[in-house]
Amino acid sequence: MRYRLRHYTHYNYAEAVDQAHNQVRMMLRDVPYQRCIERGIRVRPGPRYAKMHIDYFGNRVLYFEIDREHRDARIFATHIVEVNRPPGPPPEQTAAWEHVAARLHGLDDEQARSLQMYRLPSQLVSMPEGIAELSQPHFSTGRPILEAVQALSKSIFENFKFNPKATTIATPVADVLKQRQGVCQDFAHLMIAALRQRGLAARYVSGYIETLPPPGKPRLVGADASHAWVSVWCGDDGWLDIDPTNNLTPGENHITTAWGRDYDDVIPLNGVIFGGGDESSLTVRVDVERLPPAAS
Amino acid sequence: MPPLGPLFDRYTRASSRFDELTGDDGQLRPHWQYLASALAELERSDLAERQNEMRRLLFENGISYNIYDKDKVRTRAWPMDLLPLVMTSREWREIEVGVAQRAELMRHIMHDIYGEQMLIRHGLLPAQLVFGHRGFLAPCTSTALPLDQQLILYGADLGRDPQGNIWVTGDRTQAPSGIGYALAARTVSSRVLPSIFRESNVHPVLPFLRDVRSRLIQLAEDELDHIALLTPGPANEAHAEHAYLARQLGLPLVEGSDLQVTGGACYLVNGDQRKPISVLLRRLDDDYCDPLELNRHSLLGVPGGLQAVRNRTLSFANPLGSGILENPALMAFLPAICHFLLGEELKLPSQGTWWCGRPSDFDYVQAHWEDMVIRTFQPNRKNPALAVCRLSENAKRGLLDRIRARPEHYVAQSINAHASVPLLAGHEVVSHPAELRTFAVNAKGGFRVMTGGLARVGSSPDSWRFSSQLGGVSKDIWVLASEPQRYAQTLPQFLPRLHSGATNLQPHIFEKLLWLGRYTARAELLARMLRMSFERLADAPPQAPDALTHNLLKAITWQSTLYPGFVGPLGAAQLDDPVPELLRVTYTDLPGGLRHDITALAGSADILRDILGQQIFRTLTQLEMALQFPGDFSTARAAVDTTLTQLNSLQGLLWRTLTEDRSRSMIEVGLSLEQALGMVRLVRSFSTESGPAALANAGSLLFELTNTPSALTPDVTTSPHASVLRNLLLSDANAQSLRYQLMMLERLLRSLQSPGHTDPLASEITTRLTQLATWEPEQRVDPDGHLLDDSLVELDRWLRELAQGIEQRYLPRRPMRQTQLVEVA
Repeated sequence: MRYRLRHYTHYNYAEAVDQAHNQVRMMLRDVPYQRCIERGIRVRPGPRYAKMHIDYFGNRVLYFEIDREHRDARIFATHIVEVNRPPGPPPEQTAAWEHVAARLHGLDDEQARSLQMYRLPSQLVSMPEGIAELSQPHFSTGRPILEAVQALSKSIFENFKFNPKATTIATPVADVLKQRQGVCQDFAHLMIAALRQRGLAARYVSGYIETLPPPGKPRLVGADASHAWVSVWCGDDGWLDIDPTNNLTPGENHITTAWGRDYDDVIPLNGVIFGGGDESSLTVRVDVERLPPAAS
Repeated sequence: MPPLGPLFDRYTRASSRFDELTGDDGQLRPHWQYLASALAELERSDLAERQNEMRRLLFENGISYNIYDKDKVRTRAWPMDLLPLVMTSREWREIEVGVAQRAELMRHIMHDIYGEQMLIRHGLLPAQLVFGHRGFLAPCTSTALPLDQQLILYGADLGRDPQGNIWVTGDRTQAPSGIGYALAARTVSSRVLPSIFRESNVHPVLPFLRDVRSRLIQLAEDELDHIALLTPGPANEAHAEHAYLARQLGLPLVEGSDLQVTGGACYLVNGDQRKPISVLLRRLDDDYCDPLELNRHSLLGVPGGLQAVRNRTLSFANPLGSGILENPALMAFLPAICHFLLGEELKLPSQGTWWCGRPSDFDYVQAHWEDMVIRTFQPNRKNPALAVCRLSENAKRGLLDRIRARPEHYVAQSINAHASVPLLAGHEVVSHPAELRTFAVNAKGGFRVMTGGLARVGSSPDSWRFSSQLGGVSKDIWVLASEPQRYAQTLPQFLPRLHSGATNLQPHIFEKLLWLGRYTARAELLARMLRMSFERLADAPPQAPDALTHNLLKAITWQSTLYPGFVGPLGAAQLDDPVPELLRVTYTDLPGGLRHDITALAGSADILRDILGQQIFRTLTQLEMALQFPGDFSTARAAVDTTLTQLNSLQGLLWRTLTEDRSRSMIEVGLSLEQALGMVRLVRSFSTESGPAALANAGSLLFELTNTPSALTPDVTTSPHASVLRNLLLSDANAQSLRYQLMMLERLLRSLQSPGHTDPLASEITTRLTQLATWEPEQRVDPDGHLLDDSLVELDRWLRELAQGIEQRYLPRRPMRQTQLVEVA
């Protein structure tokens, strides 16, 4: 599937900002099932200095400075991307989840040892009380890992309410577990916590999802949003993605931007500004537009 | 056994410890003999005198530390013992070799963790201890520093077991503190015990400072003035040490807000001037150094600092991320890691350490439970070590339950008795346990270790933790040379400055200078007003104060902003019995009161020790003393008199001491700004009141208050009111007039610019002066002395804006955070 992806961010400041330092993780990372045909990012006012690097997790990070007085700042990230995700293995043929956990736990498996950071609690993913109970019904002995993961995803999807007003960026996993509501980020964190609690390696994936308009309605430009889901290491099958918010296996409609231990590692835009006053407003528009297949 | 002298009469060594002073036979160890006999010859009074001299030297060098007490920061004199800890070269040799190796090992571990992670992949270091530790900062992996830059400074805490073996109890790898205190301790001990020091042939510590400096210069690629010492600021417990060390190293002391990353490189920026900074000797913990990439809950540090490191334009010493090494659990793995990375045996053993995350370790810990000290493996001040044997049975069970729930979070260490050292307590010497701290620097040809350091003595004979926060005392460590240290005496006390002394660019210093000027002027005017009120009340017959005095009292309220004071319906009641309110204005700590202003003035001066001289600090102490104890009318009157005298001598001293243009200009900016504001406020106060107290009648009072020369010729052609206004606001002959102050400000602000640049604020003042030239007092004031328009209100507002403009241009900027949350889908 081919998409044009537009991510527009606009800050309006109450008072002039005379210097801004920002780090942006909006550029799609390189993954085998995703090919970027175009990758562009524009910043207004034009930064005096900008530099890209690849971070510890392999994500693209753009650092830039604006050092003249400005009252608003805009960032346009544009991609044309082709997603060609092969179907995952049949769930029932994946390794038993305890075997995967044992491999990760073992000290003799060099590859497993390099994944340890995705097994441990992280900044935003702690192990709240009751997290084991969440996965308990789905992780029966010997169950193939992908089956168990899908069952866990289904149970989160069915038992947790999607409610943007229920949580903020700082809501801990424990509260999400208690309140039983949240947004994609919360569900991803919750699921990661449940998987790590079982000794598995799980990471947080940020990206986009194509949303289709209700039947008979036109597609609304800019009404899309960024999205987050989970990736879990399944032994010889490698990393497999799962989207608990929509209870589906990411396919060609999921576009991957970045991944890390949790949201903190993949914040789309993080900045420190000098000036700006107390009341600034932020507008974000995301558009995932399906393009006709390329004539080759 | 030769008598040790009365000084040592009560010295009883703890049998369970190694004693530094005496051997098992109770005899003095040979290397203590000279010091002990020399001290024995001193009179009691002489000893006390030297202790006083030691305290005085520490105070004069600004050596203090801050303790945190119920969210408040209090400054204390740094506690130091007159007696040094004496060690032999041979004993020190073992420490030196071991500490150098350990520093080298730490450097390799850091390089591995932020690089290939072979230790994890080969199973030599559990992943939990790296990725689960808060010191692991993923953004620091992308800086890819070469091995040689991985660790510049290292600090080791050392203990000694009853058999006399040295072992390491702690590794300091982020911003090892104490180098400054160690230097200060040496300076002081060598001056207080000069001949004993000279005869003892003590190894100098200054060569270590030189090695540090050479290394920093090398990191800066020989750009000497591109190096600075980064401090969190005056609230930090060791701020005085940071300032002292900066002075000793000849480096400017900077705070994060003084620095700015522009174009991916770091600069010290002030107004239109900037200077590149390529090396920061930091005293900030890792994650506070860059709010953009590291700790997102803090705004300390330099936004973009890590990017500058990535760009190779900035080096931190130590490099960011080194906090990963400050993990007590690491000690349990060091012998094997040392083999793997260096191919050597670990020369200096660590304190016995067991990581509860390893089942065999946990079993051992449970079996030897009572002998253990338990802590988490995280760096956490709020979660100190617990000695199991000192806990109640309940607490023990609770602790064990917590460990069972998350064993990988806990580290157990054996309580080894630290060696005991002699400590001077009053007129006698007692024996307390101590921990040693020494330092290594990654110099040319490998790590070099300071020949000396600090001994930190516990506050009681059975202490097992050692920290100034817990009331400990420090000692200089004298390592005796086997040969005379001839060169030791010829080394200079101070290394030359690396930066040109002509410009103090740090905005945080400018901030203090500006406020030093402002509070001086503010306090002076208020003190004059108070003095005049006291005089008028003392001279007046016992009936109610006259109208002019009423007006003066109201002016005091307007000046101090301590409402209601004498203003409004509530204030009117005070007018006829004004003394209680005047005492309040004199002694209150509320903003606007005299004592508050004096305290704030002294507070601004506190971090300016490098710039202001010692004499100024004595004057400041006297200033604070004058108002320290609230008193009655006559006490207050005398105190205000003293305050004025001291403020005058302060200003005299400031002009004599400050030769450096920019610093001096900034204080003057503060003075002129506040004098201009005070003048406008004063004139307004006396023109809003009608009747006999109006401007003309208040003329001589106002002239006296503002120190306006009385010889000014009254202008007979104009109204008497207008004449007063002219003299106070517009006169060229009156150095206190508004116009004069504005002219000063204009000149000062221009002088702060680089040649060829203009300051928009200065230009604004020029415009304002032109307007003032056409301001006709005759048309602004009615026959009763009332002002006819709002021009003074407007002037007041403009002056406040000007003050804000100056702050924005020259003072530290306040950063804010912006993030984009993930949007929902």
